[in-house]
Amino acid sequence: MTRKHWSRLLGGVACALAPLLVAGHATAAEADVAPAGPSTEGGLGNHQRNVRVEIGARTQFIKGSGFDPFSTDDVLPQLSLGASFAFWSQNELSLAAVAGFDYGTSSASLRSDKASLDVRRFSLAPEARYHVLRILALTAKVGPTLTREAADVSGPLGSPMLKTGWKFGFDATVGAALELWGYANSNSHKPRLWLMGEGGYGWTSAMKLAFKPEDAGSVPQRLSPLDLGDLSVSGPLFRVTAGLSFW
Amino acid sequence: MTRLLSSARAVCGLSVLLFSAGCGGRPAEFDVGYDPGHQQATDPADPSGNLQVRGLTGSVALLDPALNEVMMFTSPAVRELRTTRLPVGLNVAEFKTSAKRDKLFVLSRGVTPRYRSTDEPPQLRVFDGGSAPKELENVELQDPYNQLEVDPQGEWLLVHGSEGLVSNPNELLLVHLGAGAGAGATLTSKTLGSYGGKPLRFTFTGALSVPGAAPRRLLVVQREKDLAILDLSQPEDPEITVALPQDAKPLDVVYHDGIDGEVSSLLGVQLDGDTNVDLLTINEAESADHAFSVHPNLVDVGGLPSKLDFVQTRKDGGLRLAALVPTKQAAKLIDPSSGVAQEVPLHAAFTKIRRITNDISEKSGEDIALLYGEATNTIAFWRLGITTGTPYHSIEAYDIGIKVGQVFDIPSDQDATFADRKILSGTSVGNTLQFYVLDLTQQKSFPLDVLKNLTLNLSPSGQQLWAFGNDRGFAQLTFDPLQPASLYTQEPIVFVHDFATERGEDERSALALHILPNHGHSSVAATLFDGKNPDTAQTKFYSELELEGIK
Repeated sequence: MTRKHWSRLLGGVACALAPLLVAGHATAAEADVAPAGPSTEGGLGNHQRNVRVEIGARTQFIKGSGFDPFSTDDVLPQLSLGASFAFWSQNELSLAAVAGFDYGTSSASLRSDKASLDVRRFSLAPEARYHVLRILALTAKVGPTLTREAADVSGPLGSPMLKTGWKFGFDATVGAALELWGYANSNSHKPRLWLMGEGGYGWTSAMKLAFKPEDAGSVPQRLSPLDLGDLSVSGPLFRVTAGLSFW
Repeated sequence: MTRLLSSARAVCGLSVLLFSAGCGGRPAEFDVGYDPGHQQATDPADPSGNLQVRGLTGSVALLDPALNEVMMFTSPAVRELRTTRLPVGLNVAEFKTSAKRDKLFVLSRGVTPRYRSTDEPPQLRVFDGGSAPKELENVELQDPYNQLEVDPQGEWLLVHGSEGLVSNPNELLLVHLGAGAGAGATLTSKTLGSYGGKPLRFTFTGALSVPGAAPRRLLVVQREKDLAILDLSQPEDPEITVALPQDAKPLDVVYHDGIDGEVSSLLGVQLDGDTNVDLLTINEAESADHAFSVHPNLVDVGGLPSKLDFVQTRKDGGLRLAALVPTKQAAKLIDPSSGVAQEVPLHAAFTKIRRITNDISEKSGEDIALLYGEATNTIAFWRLGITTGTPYHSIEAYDIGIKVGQVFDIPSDQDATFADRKILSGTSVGNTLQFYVLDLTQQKSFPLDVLKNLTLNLSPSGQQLWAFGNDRGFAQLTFDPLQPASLYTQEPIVFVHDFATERGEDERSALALHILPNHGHSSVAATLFDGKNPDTAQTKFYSELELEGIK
């Protein structure tokens, strides 16, 4: 299975899980009871202040015409990796630093050509968390992103046409984190299993899709760049991840 | 718990919203591979060959059949390229230009069968072939048709050849094109009376003088057993049907405006497999139904004629119908007044004749004709003025070493400087083809050898021609000086044409078109040259043109 297939699979899983996210919470919360140890008195402890690593899928819906050559459905599925450190808390409120990496590809036929897009996004953001329950926190996050976009069009010439660029942007999301498994004891140092879901908007500055050949020597001289307009990987996004927290 | 359920509903609602946002998709055109449109290559002089591409005065038009659009390639400046897409309708049946190459005509059949009123109807569209392409006319048709005839003078179009469960081949649609911008086209439907014959060919005449009436143009419909003659000044009037002898099929019709005081306007009809020539005189009206009458006169020329044309043997008079009879290696000059045919022996079995009088600036009043043919290496200039009495002295023959298959006129609509030149294209022998540039004024011919069997395309400017094959090389030939220049592209060529840029006629771009294989389909690319001073080292290459203009 290639990276492309994995990211597509994860994208599909994310989409499928989206409506079930909260509906499944009650069952998950009940499941937590079995392995949970004795409850502790006073505070959320490392239910709240922890280090968490995450893996999941991010799905972004990109309506801009610049994305059309690379996708038949305006959807960019991505593998999403993240790590967070909740460094401050007061009552139900806590604050974490989150670093993320998203990777996704999309490809489609472009009339007789084949077009593909490779997106790698790095993000860093503060995340506010509010525990409405011991095992459920609402989250909100806004932060900058740096995205590497690599587009290529394979056409009739001897060399693929490429365009790559690094673009700044931001992600703004709200969501929820549900502790699926873990000891109720807030001082337990055992890992906890989390399911996170969030939605929002991701914006990336536009990249002009003026393609140039990868190997200029194998295409006709004075080739006029293939211009497919501007690509902005921007639009509503949805992310579903599973995570393990430690402390 | 209530708060939790509210949150759940909110997230579910958001997910539904996001999914619906992703259903927009992209232009459906991106999902359709490009493949060029093809046609039956019936005219050897058509540089398009079997490809649905047309060179125009200010653009190159290439059909995109899968998208039902035409891509009009124009040039904002030398070597620059712009693509404009214009809809042409579903199921294109004909893709033609006007004789001056200033208009593009597209006949489409629409959705067939047309079950819903919203289904696209058959249409005839007219496009501006200049440097600002746009649709000029869109005529909706009642039924789908397959064939389109273009009036060489650009006034009329003829749509025919309907195809249905029951169809009438004698049903014609005459479209009179508007004279100016905004002037709409008018449509006249004609159903010709028939005695069993179907239309074979059509001849739009020039303006012919008619005794007692204003000059008018005629449409001669050649049918299997007769001719139907329509008065284009009164297209609603009933046609005149002229029966042909022994139900012979017509092969060709020529015409002449007549000569005041000598003879009325004339039509000459060549018959298939018949040694007779039918000479039709246009006389004054004999009934209220028509503005003129037609009187036939059958003349035997003693052998099967290969070509007819009207010629004048003296200034302001001496009109004769010349019939080439290759089997007798002679021409017959038929006096339309008496019907007497005078034989003129020829040097060779010429099969074709082209009157070139108007192309020579110094006119003596007598006609000069060019004789040539695919059966002889000889061409001849036939000075009609000194024919009578001394027929041999009237013909100057030249052995040019090739059998001439085609004679190309130099376009003179924009510049008539080289109207006195003709391009004689030889029939190909193996992979080689030779062509001549003929200077009629000086009666000189300039042989040009080419290594491969090339297609010729004359520039609408009348200043040069392009010779190209299906390889990477092509040639520009300017007429003054007569200088060929070899040019090369890095991809195989299917068509070459030069046209005015958007900056005006003084700047021209030459476009070498490439159709390249691409993932099981094709792709369009072009190499742009300076149209006046092309240089292989100064080009610009444009690829994936089939993507241009899709929104």
